[in-house]
Amino acid sequence: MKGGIAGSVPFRQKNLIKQQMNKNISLTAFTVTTALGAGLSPNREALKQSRTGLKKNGFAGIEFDTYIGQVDGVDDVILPEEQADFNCRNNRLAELSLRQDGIFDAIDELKVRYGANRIGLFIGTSTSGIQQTEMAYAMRASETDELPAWFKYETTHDVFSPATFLVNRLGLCGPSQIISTACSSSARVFAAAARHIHAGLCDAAIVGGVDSLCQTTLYGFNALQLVSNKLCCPADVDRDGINIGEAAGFVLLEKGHQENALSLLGVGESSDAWHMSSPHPQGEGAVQAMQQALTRANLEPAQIDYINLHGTATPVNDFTEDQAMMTVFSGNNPCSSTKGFTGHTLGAAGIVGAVFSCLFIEENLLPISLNTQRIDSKIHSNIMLEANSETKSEIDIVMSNCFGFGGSNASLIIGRPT
Amino acid sequence: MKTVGIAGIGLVAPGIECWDSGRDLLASGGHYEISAEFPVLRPSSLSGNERRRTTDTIKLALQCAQDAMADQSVVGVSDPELTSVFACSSGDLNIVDRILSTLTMPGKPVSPTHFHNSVHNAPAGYWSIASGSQAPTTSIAAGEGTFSAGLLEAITQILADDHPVLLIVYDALPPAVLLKHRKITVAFGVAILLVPEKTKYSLSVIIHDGEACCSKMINPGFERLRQANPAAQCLPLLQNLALQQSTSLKFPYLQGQGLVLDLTINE
Repeated sequence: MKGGIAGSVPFRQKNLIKQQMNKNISLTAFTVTTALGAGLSPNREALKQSRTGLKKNGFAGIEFDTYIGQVDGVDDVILPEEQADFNCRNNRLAELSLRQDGIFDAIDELKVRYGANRIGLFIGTSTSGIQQTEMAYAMRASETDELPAWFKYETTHDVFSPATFLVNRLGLCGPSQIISTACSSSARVFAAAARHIHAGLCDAAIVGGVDSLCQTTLYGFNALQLVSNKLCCPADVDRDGINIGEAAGFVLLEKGHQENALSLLGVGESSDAWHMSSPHPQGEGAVQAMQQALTRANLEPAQIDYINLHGTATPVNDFTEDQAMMTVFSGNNPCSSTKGFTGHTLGAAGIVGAVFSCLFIEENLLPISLNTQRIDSKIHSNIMLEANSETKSEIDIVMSNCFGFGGSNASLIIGRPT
Repeated sequence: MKTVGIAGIGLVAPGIECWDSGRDLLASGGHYEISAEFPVLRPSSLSGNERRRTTDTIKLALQCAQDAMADQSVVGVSDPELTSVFACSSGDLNIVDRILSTLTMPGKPVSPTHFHNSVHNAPAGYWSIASGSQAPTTSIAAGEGTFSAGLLEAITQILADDHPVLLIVYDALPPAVLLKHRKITVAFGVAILLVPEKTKYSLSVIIHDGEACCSKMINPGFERLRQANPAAQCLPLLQNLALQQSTSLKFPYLQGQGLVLDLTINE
């Protein structure tokens, strides 16, 4: 009985028909803070006007040339006294995002409606508050090897720190988890929240993502030769890497159809089972994630009005994602990456893609692939180079892609309820 | 919530190299020392070359996972329906230590391999590569409640899609400089294969509002182990599995909440 302890259970029956569990989950409030600005308004305007938030690198400790998507004002944020122990760039960025678009009030209303113990919290991050530990290592005492007395690991750097901070800050006591699957983290929070709601563990959920600039990711991606020293240009023939950005955002999910709210129509998740830091060469995992999202949403590819690509602007990502896109969509549906606006916000990329998708539907807006001059002849998807050049009468249903290290893939479909 | 079946267990802890030896030790009620030698981690699912490139955290998670899947009669590792949940409170702090030490050196020469191994989902990535399965894996954290959060995530996946889920809960020993700040004093890993069908062992869980005082181990050595690592919170469940005892257990989850787990041994 090594390992297996089931006894004589017959080999299980295959059940490949997935339930359409996401159909009745509504997105009732949302906000995002990126290099384009804090809250929906500056993000909406920059996307409409095709204006980048990327700037020539000026981040502390970075000694190589690149562009970054830094959020202004993060260091001016002061956390409430009760949460002072959580003070780090990542939690300050989360706090800045929370202060926008009436999200505090919307969460208070949610608590009244459902009770604080019936609201789940699902947050994606890749590096949490690691910058705090970077600073502590830089000040390490040479005689004793000890980290400085001000260093508080559990409330800042620990993977769970953003969730503990938000639980305390918002007075929540429902189910809670951090998802850390690299660059797909805050797309997968939608799937986990939907499952917890489906299982009856909560009636509503706050999903979100927060990832902040730090030396670890900038030097790490640079060591992998994936960072561009110019403005990133997704799908361009001359693309040569990413610009790293930071972002935070939140979406409130509620069970059932809520008036005037968009719906979470489908989520697809898959693994590449290929390589730790390169995508599957034919984009097999990406195909599975997109197809599973379509199946769960009970939609045909032609019904997707726009796809927000992962589109990091590395040579390999954009090529393999295009192969996957051509397999699923045959090159017809309009699509673009918004990394040229915000940079690649890593563990927050999923929530940025999700909130941008909501904006595109609300504003009937299709963003261009910013900074892209000449599309690579090996890329065949219908990538938008001019604003609203492909706009149908209405943008109702949008897909957003996220693919991460470790071959972790997620596709979301958000739209007007069908 | 729905009752699910347990179809396999994997275990790695000080002095315990697999569930077979852990089960015998837990059932015997014999003396246990937390200072027992930690088994050599040599998961066969990784090639020798890969094993050299990976870290103790990755090897710990994979060794537990493959122990639970050894001699499986219910589901194979490459089954496209088998998803996995990797739950770990602190990630790979040894890799963090190496990267952050490098960042204090001239030129900050971060190793690309260290960097891609540093992501919280590195064990999940290596597991999917080793198993060849493109089924989804997730990687989560929930502090001291990481075992409970992992169990809830796994059960919600079974409820949603009616497929088996392999749950792996683990935390490695942090490097000395961080140990003071994250008190995980021994490495520990457990894997539990959960299936929608009825097996000999059924479990169901509910969230309990209010601080649920958690189930403890009577054996002082095992109780020290339970308190030494968030993943080891599972020990009361493992002991009752080893003793073939139906029981109701409490586990820490989040502040103001606990998890109540009912284990039933089906005859």
